[in-house]
Amino acid sequence: MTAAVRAEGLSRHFRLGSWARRRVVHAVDDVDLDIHSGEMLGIVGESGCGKSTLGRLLIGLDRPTGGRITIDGAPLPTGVGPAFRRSRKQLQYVFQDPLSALNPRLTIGFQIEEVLRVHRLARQPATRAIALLDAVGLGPEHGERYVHQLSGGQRQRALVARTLAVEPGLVIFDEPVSALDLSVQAQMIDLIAMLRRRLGLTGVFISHDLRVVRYVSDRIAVMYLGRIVEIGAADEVFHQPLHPYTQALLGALLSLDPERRRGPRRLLGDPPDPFEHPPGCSFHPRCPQAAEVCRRTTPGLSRLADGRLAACHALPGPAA
Amino acid sequence: MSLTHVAPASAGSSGAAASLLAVEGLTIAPRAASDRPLVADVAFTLGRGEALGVVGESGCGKSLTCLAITGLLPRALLRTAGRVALEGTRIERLAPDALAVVRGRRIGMIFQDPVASLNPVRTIGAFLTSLLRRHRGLQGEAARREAVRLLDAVGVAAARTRLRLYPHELSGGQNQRVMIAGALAGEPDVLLADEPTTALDVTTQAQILDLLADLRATRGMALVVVSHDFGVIAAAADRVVVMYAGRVVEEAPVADLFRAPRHPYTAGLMASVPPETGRAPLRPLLGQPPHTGAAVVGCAFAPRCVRASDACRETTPALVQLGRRRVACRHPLPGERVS
Amino acid sequence: MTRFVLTKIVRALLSAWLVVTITFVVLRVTGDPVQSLLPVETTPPEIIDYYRRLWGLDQPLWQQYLGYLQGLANGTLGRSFADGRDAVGIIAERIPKTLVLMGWTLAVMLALGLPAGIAAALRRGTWVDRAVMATAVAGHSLPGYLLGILLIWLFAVELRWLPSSGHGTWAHLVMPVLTLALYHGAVVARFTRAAVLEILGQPHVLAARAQGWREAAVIRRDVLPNAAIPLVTVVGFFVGGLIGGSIIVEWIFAWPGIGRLLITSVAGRDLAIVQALVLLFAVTMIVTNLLVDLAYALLNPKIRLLRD
Repeated sequence: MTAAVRAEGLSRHFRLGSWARRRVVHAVDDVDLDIHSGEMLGIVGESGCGKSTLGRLLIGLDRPTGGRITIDGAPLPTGVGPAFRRSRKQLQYVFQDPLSALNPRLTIGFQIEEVLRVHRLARQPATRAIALLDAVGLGPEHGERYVHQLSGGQRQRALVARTLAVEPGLVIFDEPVSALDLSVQAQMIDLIAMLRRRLGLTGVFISHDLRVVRYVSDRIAVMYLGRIVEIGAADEVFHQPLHPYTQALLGALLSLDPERRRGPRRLLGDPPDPFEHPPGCSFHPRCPQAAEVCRRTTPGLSRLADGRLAACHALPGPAA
Repeated sequence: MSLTHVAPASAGSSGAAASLLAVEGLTIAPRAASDRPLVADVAFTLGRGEALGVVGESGCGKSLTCLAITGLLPRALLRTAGRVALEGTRIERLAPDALAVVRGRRIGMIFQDPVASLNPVRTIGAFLTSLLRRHRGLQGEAARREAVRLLDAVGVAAARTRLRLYPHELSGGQNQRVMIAGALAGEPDVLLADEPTTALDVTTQAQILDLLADLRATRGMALVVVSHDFGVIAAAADRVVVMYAGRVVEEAPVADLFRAPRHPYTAGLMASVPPETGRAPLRPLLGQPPHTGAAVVGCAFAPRCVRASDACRETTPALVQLGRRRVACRHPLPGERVS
Repeated sequence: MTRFVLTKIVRALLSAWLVVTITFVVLRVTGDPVQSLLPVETTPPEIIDYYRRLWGLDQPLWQQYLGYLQGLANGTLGRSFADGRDAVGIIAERIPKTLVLMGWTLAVMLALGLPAGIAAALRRGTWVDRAVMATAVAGHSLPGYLLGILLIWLFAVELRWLPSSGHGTWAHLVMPVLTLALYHGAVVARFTRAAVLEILGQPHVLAARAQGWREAAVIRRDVLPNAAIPLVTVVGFFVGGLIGGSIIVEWIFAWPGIGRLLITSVAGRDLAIVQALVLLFAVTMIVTNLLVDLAYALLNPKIRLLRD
């Protein structure tokens, strides 16, 4: 399968604080990642693990401090210029909060038509806008409304409609359902699944909710302190997690079956402070299997027998 | 406002022991529009040491119900009807000073956002020792010793050194532990936990739920957990109350409810949780809940319900006993074949 | 904390130097003081030149500037162009009078504004709230000079209770202080109300009630200390406003403070005095800001503990 997007050695370090006591946050640290054409890649991790930063880097909303990104073999354009504008059209981002992404003073329909006109995508923008609204389950009447006149779920749908207007090559969904109520969240998940089937969308789905990520993704990447610690087919990662952190995340997943309520042993300690990068494997302070080697050297992602990649000293060595 | 019959709160096939906390006919409305209740006719009981879950989507009135129990409704809202009894004492009738004693000493509370729920300009030590002085009369070193013991009990490591810290110097999970320690200071009989893990990360959420379960087991404390998350309810509660548009629509032992929901709304919510295997399309509820405080005629769920009949659109169904549960539906789902 | 304080002090010194330089330059380029002090047409040129030399105006600008800085270091700010007295001495004898006026104004404005704002917030939506806010809007929209003149008309002309101008007795203090304090007290009341309302809506206040604290304890321990944090900043800004206000008020009520001195010196182009006064105002502002920053840090543990 071809890689639509390839990230190599991708890093984003933020420098904070004054000149005297500068602190560096390794928000994204040496990440290698392929996104195949037509796939949905899920990224999970706890707050501060760098999953949103990675999403922004992948479509050029933020510049990496190290490494590079190629899209269909060509480097991702940054900054200004026609190449960047074209890429902005191809690369789209759906935020958790549709209120911040939609203009409160323009109707939904107008905003969709505007995108179509700017990119010269439709002969009759008005008709196309109605078709796009229909594709996300909204009627033409919703196009005449303003953001504040829509419910939370409708706003998120409107945002998706505007995103789809440019026929994007890659869509980053950043926690698109976290702020929604359960029943509305399910409607959105169904919508995203349906759009994938119908449009062959390539996407990245960022979420802290493992159950949702498994359901919508083909592959899952698990992040911890800026690094990918495990990546593989969604069902394999979910049902047979290999990395101790993935195992802990799944152990913390609350079962809906009250008879199974006492889960495995809990992960101790707090989610890590992004300012404090422990030496060696960054997970070792919380890892039940941590050995001496984990305190000294950082494990790299290595390919395991089933094609999965994991970064852990405790796992059997690389398949090849 | 319709005054439909409400099944007696303490009725139950298990013959619930004399209830610790009983809520009956609780109705809450805006002061300015008392005919548009946000919570209507809510009734449930809580036995000693029992854990009750209250589940529902945003705006269903679950948090307001929780606040109304201790008389902490926002100024713009009013309890227009109903009673709240703690071991037979009508606490909604208490004078402010007496109510203040009930809060903290009989009923503890914790909230969604632990960092925002702690006064940012007070240290953890000042927070805990002042509560111990108020509720248990402990002074000076005795209060400090007890504060350390409480922090130990809720799993805060290096407790003595934490006393000097401010809330923003601790993580969200640590702050929620501190909040719980504060709630335990008065040794209450009931802990009301309003979305106690919603602001926390997955691994921390599991730790806090374990802690709540341990506290129940070791202290015999009854628990009310309010959450939008079925996972949290399944992990923390023995019995569940499902709320929709300000009313209780179903109440059941947690295992029964998860095995076979009987109200179509409960069933629809559960069908909205993505499964752990396979990718069968979700069958989410269509539409969305009515706006909070909108005038509702008949069953509030009827517009989204595939089973709704004309009668459903005309009058509000009463909460009726069906085996071990109570359901407010004219056309409940069949439930379990073997009872 | 030491680091924090040192950084603030260094910044304050930097601001002070900037102000000194800017005032020096601005005042030198806006006209020749000799020409406005001496009637040019009738004064012989050698007299003008004499005064130029006497005040150092014949030197190049940079030399004047260096001389000025040197004087600053020695604690002298030049001599009055009008009567040749030491500028520092002239100002020093005026300062206590202005300090009395401002001290009382500060006290009265806080005594009026803080309780009114707190009461309005705690009783929001009631007649207390509406009355306080209506008064505050009125007080705030009335220009200082107008209020001053109204007070003179009422208390001095009509009722004859208070002297219309001058200083020396308590009675002289009442109207100038009221004029300044009513205006600023109105602003304090509005800020206080907003700050208290904001804190009242925070989760930790609800949590404190749920923990069994009586309302009075909640207000005292959870609401007021947190509301004080933004208020300190605002009150700091008022010191600047008070200086501006005192200039007008001292003029209206013939109060012999530095505000009045500024007006007479500007009118007479008495460069040395004006420059010294501007410097004094600026340093006052800078010191106030420094104090506000420190008070803010003292009240807010998030700042205090930001050691790095």
